[in-house]
Amino acid sequence: MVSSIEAIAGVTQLTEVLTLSKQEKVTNQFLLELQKVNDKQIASEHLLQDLASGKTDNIHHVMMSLEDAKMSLQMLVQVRNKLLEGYQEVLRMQV
Amino acid sequence: MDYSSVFAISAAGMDVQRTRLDVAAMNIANVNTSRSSDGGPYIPLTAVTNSKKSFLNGLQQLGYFNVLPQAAVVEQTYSVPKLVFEPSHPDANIDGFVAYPGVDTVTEMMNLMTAVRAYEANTVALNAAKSMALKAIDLGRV
Repeated sequence: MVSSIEAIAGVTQLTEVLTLSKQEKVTNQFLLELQKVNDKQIASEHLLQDLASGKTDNIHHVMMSLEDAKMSLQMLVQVRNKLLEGYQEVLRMQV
Repeated sequence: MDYSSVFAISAAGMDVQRTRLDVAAMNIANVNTSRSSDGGPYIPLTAVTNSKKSFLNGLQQLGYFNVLPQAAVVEQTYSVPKLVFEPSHPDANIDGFVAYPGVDTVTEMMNLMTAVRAYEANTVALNAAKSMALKAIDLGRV
């Protein structure tokens, strides 16, 4: 899971260049949300590690954090699907 | 859509129920403690729940505060120790009676069960909120 999160960080760095060159606001907003989701994943990962190493015994807080992270990711994936859909719609447009 | 406020509300409820469970378990565990660290028998504990205002989104947008429960653990103010005649016990008083804590095991079992049930109710509320949010996400799925 940690390696997958690092993979996302790579994507943000890559697209950082695009935002610097005054890309669309949508991209910027999407990256912001992506960062938030990534933060949630990392936070829940830390909580999970705390639970495993016995630093906390609050199971329901950890589970809630995990669920929150999971749902945020699902939401993000849906938004990404919609964005891609719009892009493909434009590509299909007849000139 | 803000489901995190529901998460926080249910989490507060679950915290309270966990405290109640801890208290009941401790009372049951100390049912025979005739000498605590302060001398005298163990004094049974009780969990008192009060509420505090919280500034979460959700209800506040409708002009209401979220009122989150909060459990505090206090000693039972009125608990009569049970006196048992055991003259050979080292904690026996001059008449040969040992003071055992006034823990009512049946009441504590009741507290235990209601705490578990209430915890379950909180998880159900949480899952309902979660499935609502997931259904909303499903709207985007063609």
